[in-house]
Amino acid sequence: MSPAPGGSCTGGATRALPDRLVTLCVTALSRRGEATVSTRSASTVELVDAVRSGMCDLAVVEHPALTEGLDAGPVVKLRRWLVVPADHRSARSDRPRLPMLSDLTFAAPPRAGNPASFDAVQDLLRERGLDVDTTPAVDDRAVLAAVAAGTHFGVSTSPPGAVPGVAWLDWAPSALALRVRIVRRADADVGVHVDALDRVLFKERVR
Amino acid sequence: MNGGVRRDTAVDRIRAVFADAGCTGWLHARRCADPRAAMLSVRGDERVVLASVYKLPLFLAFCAEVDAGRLDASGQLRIVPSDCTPGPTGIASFRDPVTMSRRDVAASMMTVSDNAAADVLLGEIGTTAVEELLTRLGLTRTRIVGGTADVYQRLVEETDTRTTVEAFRALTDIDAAWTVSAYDPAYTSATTPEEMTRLLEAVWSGSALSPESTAFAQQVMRAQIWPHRIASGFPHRGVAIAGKTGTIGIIRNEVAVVEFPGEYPIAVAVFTRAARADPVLPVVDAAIGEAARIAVTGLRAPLPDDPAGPSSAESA
Repeated sequence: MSPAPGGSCTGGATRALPDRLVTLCVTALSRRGEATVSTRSASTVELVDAVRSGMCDLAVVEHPALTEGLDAGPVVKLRRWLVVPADHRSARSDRPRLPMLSDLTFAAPPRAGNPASFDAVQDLLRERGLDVDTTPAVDDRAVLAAVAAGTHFGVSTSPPGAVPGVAWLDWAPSALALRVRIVRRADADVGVHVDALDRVLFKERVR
Repeated sequence: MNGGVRRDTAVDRIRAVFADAGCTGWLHARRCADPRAAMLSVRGDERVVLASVYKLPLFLAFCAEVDAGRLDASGQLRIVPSDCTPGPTGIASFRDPVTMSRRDVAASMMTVSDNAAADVLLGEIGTTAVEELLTRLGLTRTRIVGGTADVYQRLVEETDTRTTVEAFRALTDIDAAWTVSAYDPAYTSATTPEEMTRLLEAVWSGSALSPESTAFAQQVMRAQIWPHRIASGFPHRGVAIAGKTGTIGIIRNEVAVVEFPGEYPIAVAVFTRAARADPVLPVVDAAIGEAARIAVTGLRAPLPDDPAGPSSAESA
């Protein structure tokens, strides 16, 4: 099941990717001459299953993740920020520290969507002195809504913008970065598509 | 009402445990010394990396050499730790030379996974003796290609580092996603979970070694100190866990015999490969214990002459 020029390509994008990057990826695939590029947005576990089963030709998934049986490209780091309520004391601090968020709940993607990356973020927060409860927020929209309500913080790959009630914190950009990889089946003839996505991710990586 | 409710099988539950821990898992379990030969397998016929579990066939080959009269178990060996493979436990962690009997060196290798002891013992008997034992027991898919020193040397080369410490630090880099030979059963010492439980069954049934060596091997394996993997699934009074762990980078393994009083011993082999490269992952260690508990529970059965009668847990 290989996408032929002028045919179709189904790509998967983890919900953790920002909208802008998803559209950049779709644009890059379209320029490869595909008549139809369709995109599936889902959790990493769902996308890995979709690529294995042939429902997707390739996908950008979180790292770390279980990708056994698939070819996985190099790890690329993408910028990710802490998002907090705009009126929270951490938003007014020149040097915000993670323990300042201890009065908030962490709005995080459901653990079942990729236990490995969920646990990695949890361990990072705990290592840096923050151990709080979590509530599931399936995507960036849900995270921002929970944050705007004043009771939660979250992590987001959406760059700082004019979102009422939400402030972005520039904290530990390398440690907090979202790690992603492109996965494909070993027998899938999608090399040119992988190269196109790889160039997009490379340009957007944390330097 | 219950007609439409589907209960997950033990295999389903074990797969879910591995997925929840963020690891790929392989498991095989079998009741030992039971003609009914009850077993459970989750990808148990696939080849997997042994890591320090290779010390088990090495240990049993040492016992076989003693049985054959080719080695004196109480013979003394002088070991200089600084000449040995580094490691956090046993002789490998010592500062000064020591003199020990061969069987104590073997016990240190098994009970605390002493890397220095393993390389000394491998130097004493060689891989040929290990291969002879494996061949005699029909374990054709188990292969020992060298000791810990060989694996560490290749790691240093493949990670382009200068020392073992630097190599292991490189392996834990979250951004690297290493694919080193130590993770690939085609290039390093490897086995299948099914062959590991067959090996343990041979020891527990008494068909692999002399009665004296069988008792010694069982006693040493019961003395392993690590409680965080298979033993964590059986925190019950009177249960003995005779095991051997193996760990390198993302690989976490253990093979063991679980002995409930008055019941058939059950051999279980669990091999995992984690998605995360962190050097310590308690969630995966605990998953090994939980998967082993699910597998063993399904295979438990009373010994035929046990006056306590049949166990309600029998389901195999």
